[in-house]
Amino acid sequence: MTATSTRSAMRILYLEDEPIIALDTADMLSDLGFGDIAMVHSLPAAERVISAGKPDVALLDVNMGHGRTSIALGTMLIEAGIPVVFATGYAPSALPCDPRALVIEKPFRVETLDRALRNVTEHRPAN
Amino acid sequence: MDEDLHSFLSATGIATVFLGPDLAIRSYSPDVLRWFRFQPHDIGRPFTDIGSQLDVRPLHRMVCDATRSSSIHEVDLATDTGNELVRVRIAPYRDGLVLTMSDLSHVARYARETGQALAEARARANEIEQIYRYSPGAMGLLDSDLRYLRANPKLGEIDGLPPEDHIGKHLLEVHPALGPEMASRIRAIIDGGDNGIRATLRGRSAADGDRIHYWQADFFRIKREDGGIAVGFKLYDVTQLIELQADLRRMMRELQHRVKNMLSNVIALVNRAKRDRRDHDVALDTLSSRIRAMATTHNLLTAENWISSNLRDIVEMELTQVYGAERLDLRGPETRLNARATLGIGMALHELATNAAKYGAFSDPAGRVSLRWSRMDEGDGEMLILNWTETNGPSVTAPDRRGFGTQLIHSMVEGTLSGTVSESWEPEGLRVVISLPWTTATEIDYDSDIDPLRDADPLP
Repeated sequence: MTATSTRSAMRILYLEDEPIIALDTADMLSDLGFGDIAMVHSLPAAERVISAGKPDVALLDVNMGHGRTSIALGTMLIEAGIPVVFATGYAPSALPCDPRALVIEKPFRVETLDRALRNVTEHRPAN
Repeated sequence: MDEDLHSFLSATGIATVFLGPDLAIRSYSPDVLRWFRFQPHDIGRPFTDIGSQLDVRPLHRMVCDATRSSSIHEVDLATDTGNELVRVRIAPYRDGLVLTMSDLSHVARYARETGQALAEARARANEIEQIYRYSPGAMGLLDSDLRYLRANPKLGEIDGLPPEDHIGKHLLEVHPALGPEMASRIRAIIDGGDNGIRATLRGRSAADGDRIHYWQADFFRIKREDGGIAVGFKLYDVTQLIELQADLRRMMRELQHRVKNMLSNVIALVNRAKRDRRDHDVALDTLSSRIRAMATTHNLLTAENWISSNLRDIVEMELTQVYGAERLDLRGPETRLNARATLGIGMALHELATNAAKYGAFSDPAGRVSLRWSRMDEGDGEMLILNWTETNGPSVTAPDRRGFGTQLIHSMVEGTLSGTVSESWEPEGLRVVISLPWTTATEIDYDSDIDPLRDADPLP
């Protein structure tokens, strides 16, 4: 199965609180072949999506406003076997993200996003 | 006078004068000529008639006294310049007196020099004392066993001990917390031969125990008179400076984050323009007006320290200044939006107006837009309601798919402001109702972009 056809069956959780960036990145995810994009703009919305059905992979913006971050959510997803890519406007090394996740710096290119999502999903243990 | 005695006196070099009962000069040795202008023909003249470079008044008084007693008198005579001092011993001799003179000039010089040196040393010691007492920095001096030789009041403020109570105490005993860090530097000077070490120390001060203080510390080697080594140190409180530096770094990170975020948004808008299937000029116009709308709301926020903005100002910038007051009916109470709502409502109004200019009321000279906003509670808690109503424009129908502008409005309002958007395409024109929880829209969210590194170590 090619990456694209795998992705068409994948459910990706995408958390980003900046709507303009979110819409653009959702377009990128669609271009990269993701068939089921659950785009949310807040941590509570992300939790609602997760409890409705486990995603296959997650792309999480780190800084969620009001001093909140998605770092704990990411760790929780990784513990549940869901691969995670973090995106951040800060220097990636400055944030205590789970080392099992990949961190990409915003703004990112579609190629960077593609490679990061490929890396985390291909190293995922088979379920 | 005996020839023998005269020879003897000449040989000893002791200045001697023999006087008769009437104080007449009987005889003198050549050394007397150092101070008295005796001539051979002066023999027999009264001693008091002879000139001298010494101040002889005390001598004359004493010689008179000596004639009336049989004891030995002594008097010290100085020259007018003060450079020479002569001690004159007056003793009875036969029926008269014998005066012997010894030069004490060198003794006087030593005494003078010693006095000067002592005064200088006192002045120096006093200067050092004053430096210690009034130095704005904390100062201390330790011997090679790290026991205090000296401490100043500022140091006392840090460790809570009066300066004099430091003497003889061990460094670690006086500063249980700061001591180990200081001791490692001091040992490097004593054992390692460093002349001076500078370090930044952190700890608490007895005078202000609540906050962490920072000191710039200088340790320096001092050679003691006995050849041993002492270590002096000076602590200068740089807490304010360090905190200011940390604030500046925090602001730089914050600024960098905002600029990056803004560029991410602009890149996202450019990507959107690339996907726009319409004519390139139209797509680029849309892009530039969106970037301008973003710049406008950022201006409003920057003018108020990125804390809040007035909803009416947003409306003026996005609508009145672009489409003219005569085409607008704007009503609503004074409402201050927080940063997040300013950006969201600003973009939403921009997209609604752009849509109206393309397809709705602003596309027809007769078209009008009414925007009313109010604070309401219909049972779901307080809400900010915005009513956008277009009239007198072309008749509109619901589009078959959501354009990017509409998606943006929904994402802004529903996704980031927990609100709702409802559109209805009435025969007279488009109506849009945006409602947001009042607190989400107005509660100050200055920290919405709060620095995740805010608790980072303030030391670089």
